[in-house]
Amino acid sequence: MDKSMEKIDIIKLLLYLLIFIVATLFMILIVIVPNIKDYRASKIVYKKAYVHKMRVENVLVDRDNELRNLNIENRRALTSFMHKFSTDNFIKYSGQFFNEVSLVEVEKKEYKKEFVEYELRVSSSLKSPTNFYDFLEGLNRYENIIQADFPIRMESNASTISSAFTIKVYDINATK
Amino acid sequence: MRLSFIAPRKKHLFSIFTKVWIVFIISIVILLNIFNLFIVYKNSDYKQTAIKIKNQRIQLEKDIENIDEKIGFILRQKAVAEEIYANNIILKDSIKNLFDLVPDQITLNKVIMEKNSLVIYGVTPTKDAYNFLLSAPLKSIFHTSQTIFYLTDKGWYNFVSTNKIINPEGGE
Amino acid sequence: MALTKVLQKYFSNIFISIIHQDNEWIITSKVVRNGVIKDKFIENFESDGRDNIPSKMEKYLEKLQTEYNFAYIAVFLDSMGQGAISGISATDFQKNSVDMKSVTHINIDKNWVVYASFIDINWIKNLFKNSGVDFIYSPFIVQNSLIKKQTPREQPTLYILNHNDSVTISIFENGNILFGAYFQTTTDDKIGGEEDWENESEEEGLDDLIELDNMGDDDIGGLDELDDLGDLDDLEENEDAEGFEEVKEKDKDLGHFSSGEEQVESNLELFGRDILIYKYLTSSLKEFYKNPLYKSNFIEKIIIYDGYEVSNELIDMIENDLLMDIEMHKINISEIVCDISIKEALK
Repeated sequence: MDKSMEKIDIIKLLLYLLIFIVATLFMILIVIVPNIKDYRASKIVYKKAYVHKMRVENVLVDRDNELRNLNIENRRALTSFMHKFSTDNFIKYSGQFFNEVSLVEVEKKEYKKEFVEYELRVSSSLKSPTNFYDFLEGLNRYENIIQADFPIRMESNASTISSAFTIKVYDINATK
Repeated sequence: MRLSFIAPRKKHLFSIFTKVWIVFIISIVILLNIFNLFIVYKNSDYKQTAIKIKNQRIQLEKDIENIDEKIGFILRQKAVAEEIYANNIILKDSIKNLFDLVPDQITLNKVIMEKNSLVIYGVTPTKDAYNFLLSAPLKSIFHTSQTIFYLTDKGWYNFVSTNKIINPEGGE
Repeated sequence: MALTKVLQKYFSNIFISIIHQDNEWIITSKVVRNGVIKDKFIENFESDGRDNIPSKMEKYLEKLQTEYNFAYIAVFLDSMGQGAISGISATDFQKNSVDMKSVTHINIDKNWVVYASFIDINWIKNLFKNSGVDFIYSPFIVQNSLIKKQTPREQPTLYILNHNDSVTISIFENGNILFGAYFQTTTDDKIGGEEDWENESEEEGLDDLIELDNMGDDDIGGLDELDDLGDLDDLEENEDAEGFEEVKEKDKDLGHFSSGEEQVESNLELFGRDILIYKYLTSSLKEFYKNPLYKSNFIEKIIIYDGYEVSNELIDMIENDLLMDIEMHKINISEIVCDISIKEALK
């Protein structure tokens, strides 16, 4: 008859209790607690990394928007830079203001930044300086980035004024 | 049941009491182990994810650099374009101002504009008219201004006005 | 589990044998470990009958079983409904008028059978329901283990196992049983055995014999009927269930029966129990020789295993009157039961 549950042996009870306590303490102190420390530490590291990434992500979004906006705002200038310079087109454009336009390439030199600069000499004849003014104004809206530059020579002839001036064309494509 | 009329009762190595305790202790240890494994798993999970996130972040930072370059590029283009546009307008305004300066009496024949100088060939009825009406304003704009007159048979004067601006760099 | 069996012998095993004698319970305990007997102790408890166990004894048994993880309790069966027969088949049971369905039996050496009624077995189990019981041994088993210790005798030999409360007689030839009989000498109603036989006359005893015979072959159900015979003074001797033929023949031995008073007077040396033993012996012999059921050969030797006391006079009487050699061995039945249980448990 196993009466061990009815008449409890105190010594055995205490012994088993002791074993239980030792085993549990061992598990907790030596196995679990260090792991929990490690766990907490790596959780903090994770959180930091996550927050960091979120911040960076936000910055990225902002910059991206900035880029987009700049692209939109400066579309005209950007496309003008990209546009390949065509002599014919320019002559056609100048023809709106001048008569008898001709173009001579002077030189092509590396612009110190990123663009290549063509220098061309324009000779044309115009009725009045107003044409020139309009030409200059319209130049800013032209399909290329062109700066009109010195030397500028104007001479009045019989019925017209003949002019000669330099234009500098800025082209990105030429570098590629 | 060799010699006895009945078979003996089953004998156990461990009493029920002992078995209960053994089961109890082992269960607790197993539970603690499971808990521990769980912690270890989550731990390694966090570590891995942290690394993943770090890499993602680095990638994002690279993207930002990329975008910044593009932005820089656009800004440079914008600056250059705006400078050019401004220069063109300034040029236009300068030329317009110049021609507006010229009074009706005086007629220009030829104008040579350089970066820092301006040479005007023209005809004026009188010297005074030129001096008052054209030379004075020119002098106010340019640093040096010289005029040479040539008398024509009609009684008017051809003049050649040379005007220069001195740049601090000394270029002409 | 098998593992437990293997490991068990390395632990302390206690073997407790319980035997009822006269008015007390004798408990012999042996502690065995690693095949070596480490301890032995004996304890007695006053008994107020075979119906129940004194609470002191129960506590004692409980204490022993708590102390030792592996404890075996062996009980010596001294109830009436048991015996031994030759042969092991159903026909053998039938021949001996034993109802196979109401007894549990053990085959020994594939030759003969020891049996006991379920009622008696359950009675013992019930008696020890609080402490539990592992082994129940028949006196024939005890006797057999003693017989086995000696070299088997070719000639038929009669063995007597003498116990305070019972007498077991069996006749063996070459290790096989020819005849077995069990007599209970005390019942619960008795306080002491000695007075009673005086009160009860031999004739009454004989009458019992006759009456038993007339009732026909009793199976264990007959026990109840025997109780009914309480009309008679006391049922001191209860034959085992095998029907005894009426012992009528005039014989030297019978002469002793028919005039019990005479026997007392003529053999003043034989007292009390010895008379009973003598009586049982002679009636068994009679039965053995007369009953065609038993293969009768002449018995020359009687070996007595005595766990109580046998007087010299009885021995003389047997030697002189029955002309048989006697060998006497003093034994401790309680300890033997213990040893048997040790052998059986630890194989």
